[in-house]
Amino acid sequence: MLTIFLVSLFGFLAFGIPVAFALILSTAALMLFHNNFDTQIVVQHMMAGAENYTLMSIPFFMLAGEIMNQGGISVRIVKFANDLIGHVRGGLGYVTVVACMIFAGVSGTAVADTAAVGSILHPVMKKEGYESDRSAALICAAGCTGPIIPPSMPMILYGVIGGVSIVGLFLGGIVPGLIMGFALMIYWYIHSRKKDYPVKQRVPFIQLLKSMLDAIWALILPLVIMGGIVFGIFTPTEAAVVAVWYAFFVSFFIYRELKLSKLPEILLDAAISSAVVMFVASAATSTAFMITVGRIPQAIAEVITSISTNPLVVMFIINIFLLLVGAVLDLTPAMLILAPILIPLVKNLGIDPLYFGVVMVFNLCIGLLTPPVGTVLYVGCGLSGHSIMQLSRRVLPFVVVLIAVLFLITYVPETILFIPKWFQGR
Amino acid sequence: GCGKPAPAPDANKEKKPEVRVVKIANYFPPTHPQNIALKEKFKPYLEEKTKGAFKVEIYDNNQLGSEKEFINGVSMGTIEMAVAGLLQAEMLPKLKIPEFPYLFRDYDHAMKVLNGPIGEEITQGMIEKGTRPLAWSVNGLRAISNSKHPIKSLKDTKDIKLRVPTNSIFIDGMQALGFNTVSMPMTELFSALQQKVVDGQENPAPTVLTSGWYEAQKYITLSYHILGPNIMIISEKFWQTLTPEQQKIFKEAALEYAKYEVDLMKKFDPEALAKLKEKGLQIDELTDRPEWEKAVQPVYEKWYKQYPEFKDIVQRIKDTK
Amino acid sequence: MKILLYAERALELFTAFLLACMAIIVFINVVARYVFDKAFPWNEEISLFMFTWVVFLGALLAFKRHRHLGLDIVINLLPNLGKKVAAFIGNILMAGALLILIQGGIKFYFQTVVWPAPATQIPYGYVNAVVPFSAFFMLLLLIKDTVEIFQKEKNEGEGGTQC
Ligand code: NA
Ligand code: NA
Repeated sequence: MLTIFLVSLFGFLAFGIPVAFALILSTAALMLFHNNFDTQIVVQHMMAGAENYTLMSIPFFMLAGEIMNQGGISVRIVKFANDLIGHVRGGLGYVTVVACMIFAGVSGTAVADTAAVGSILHPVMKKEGYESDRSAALICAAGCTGPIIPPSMPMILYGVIGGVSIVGLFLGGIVPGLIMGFALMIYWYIHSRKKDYPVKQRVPFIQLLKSMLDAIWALILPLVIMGGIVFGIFTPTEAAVVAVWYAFFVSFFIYRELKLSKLPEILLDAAISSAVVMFVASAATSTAFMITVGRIPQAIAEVITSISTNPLVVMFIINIFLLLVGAVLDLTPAMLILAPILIPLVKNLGIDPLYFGVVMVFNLCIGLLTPPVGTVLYVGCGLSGHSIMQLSRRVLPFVVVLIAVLFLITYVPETILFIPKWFQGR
Repeated sequence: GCGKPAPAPDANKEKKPEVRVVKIANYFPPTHPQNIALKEKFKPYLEEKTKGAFKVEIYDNNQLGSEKEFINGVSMGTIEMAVAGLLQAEMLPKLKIPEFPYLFRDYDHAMKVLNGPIGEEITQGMIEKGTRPLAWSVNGLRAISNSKHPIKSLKDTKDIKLRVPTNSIFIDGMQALGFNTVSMPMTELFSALQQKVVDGQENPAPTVLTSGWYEAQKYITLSYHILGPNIMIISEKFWQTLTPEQQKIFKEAALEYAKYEVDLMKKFDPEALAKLKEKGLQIDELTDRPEWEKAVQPVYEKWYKQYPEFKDIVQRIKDTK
Repeated sequence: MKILLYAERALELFTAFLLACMAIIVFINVVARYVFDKAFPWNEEISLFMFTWVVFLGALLAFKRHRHLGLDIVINLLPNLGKKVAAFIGNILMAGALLILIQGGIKFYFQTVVWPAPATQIPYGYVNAVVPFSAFFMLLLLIKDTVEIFQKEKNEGEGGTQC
């Protein structure tokens, strides 16, 4: 059963057909093998996968991100970060990381984060004399804080699949997200000491204050979202909707940069982007049904536990496995295909599913940077005009840094669990 | 695993009759009386009596999808059996009756009515929908938990934001009792309670225990406003492939399991309450139960208006001794 | 062919409109709960139904724009002719997946059209109809794409070199 599943899925994928269709076909293959072929099963479970109130937050977070981009909010985040730390050697590098981390507080995906910050910062970095390819690589790596720092689309998917508290997962991502940002900045510090990057003058304090006030509306949005969820004002889905209206209000009434005529395109773009994700999620739900009926998680658990039942060793094996999967599969499908298989396994071994969720999201985020399939890497290529080969080489040191952080959070679980536990004990 | 090739057909010449798999879907956690009864009663009974012709596989905790999904699955024949709630009431309105507030006196009263002729009358039409009812059991007497203050009488309900399922009987009933109702899916309930998006919820005490919601609750009131019935269904397509003897064994196994489950539930309810008390919950009884029974009368009136035949059925249920 | 362009535009606007409605309805829920201490049970249901429509109509629009997530590394390793053959086989496989959705979707529609949703009383079948609908139009788009594979072949055979 396991063999049928893997061979059919990767076989179909090899023909270059979209993941959602490959999932539908491998579901059909499993049904044929299991002697219960019925097209209605596929559709019924696909509908059930889409009919999910929590997943409704996905189009809303995408919509909020798009409105903020078009409404001048992203520009102000970058300007503020620049006035704050642009004056040290290699300053724009830190600006990139800080801007990405702030934007991560309002966007749920790495692609949105990378594209929003990168499209503003990359041209500036190039003009100021930073190497174009290295800058692009840094932007890509920093953009991966997007789904680690809450809100996070992959964490929503994981929470729905595993029945894990989404608020808990969001809280669990805060410290790993901060560590990730600081690790990138430390690397950049070591790197830029050797380089002759230009040093700009520190901006007068009054100008820093001005750009902070100008960006304040964007800066408090992360607090509105997380505060609203944590203090029980709304559920994650509602938080996403509040983010939409907040972004709309700020861009339209305060910054006055959003044109109403642009709204249909913004809405359509958010709808299609989230449909792409949701179509895979929906197809994966029907596959998950057949995975359960075929007892595939048990088969995989047997393979892994035959090697070791020590949680530390199992986490190591799973991490390596996920890094390999992340190389060839995008974050969303990898999460949707593997979470239903891995969650029962880790639960059986006494591993906290909340902790595991954050590790899994972090791990698969690294996959967004690794060739051959790395969506964020592709965005970086689009931004900078470099080839995948060239950018992959430049992004390699950052990937090494992120893998180090991955193993840090894996083997020091408190980094993840500290904040969720603290809030529960409240 | 199943990935290995099957042994060549002529490896063992005497062909053993194929073992047929019976998948049973439900939404209860593995430790719930429903799953214990399925595991300890239904599975061994059926497998032994049919001399291994059937193999029962229990899929708890929504493993085969949510309630709506697995009911559809049973009706299509892709899932053989399920223990479900009364979601099909939207198609077959008579199924709403067992969930009317303060309808049954206790578990025994409910079982006597539902597993008798009135139960058959209520489930009319289910076979045509592909889901044959086999036996009724119980999800439990529903209690009200909250994090704000003790609820002892009708005066205490006004400022409580209570989560209820998206089901008009529950919404109308709890509103008639004075609560502010919020409907949200079960999956969001835990964090909603924790973050105080809602103050409380109403479910049987064992569910409050097994789902961990007590972590976010301080008080529980034994209102016992609704007796949540469950119904074991079998796919009509699958049923028609069984021999009359096999059908008889399935029916017996179902009734045995149901009886066992209700017995477990009678023990499990006080046990769960004791454990909840240990976890620090304050347990309250109603001081004015007749008032509560009176307050929900509009729910009955509303449905009588739409379906006048309900009045007679309700009367016969109340008359059942 | 102009009518097709209009139809596509209408579908785009309708999808965008549904998402806007979702944003309004869910927001009303938050406001109603906090300002008026009230919640509407139909709210969750109707927004969820709109969401499933956005997902499947959006999937159709994404299909038109070739935006579905896929893996083209293996195909890219192949020589030109191999690419065409693989693309052709890939399209046949996708047609298979779409036929599953169309047949299963129609069956599922008839099963659920008699089942009204609790709060809004909208039959689930109306919601589920979006699956065969989108799948059918995806199939048409797929056929068009497949024909284009062969047309390109012909052009190249005639010496057309636009790569
Ligand atoms: Na984020
Ligand atoms: Na990758």
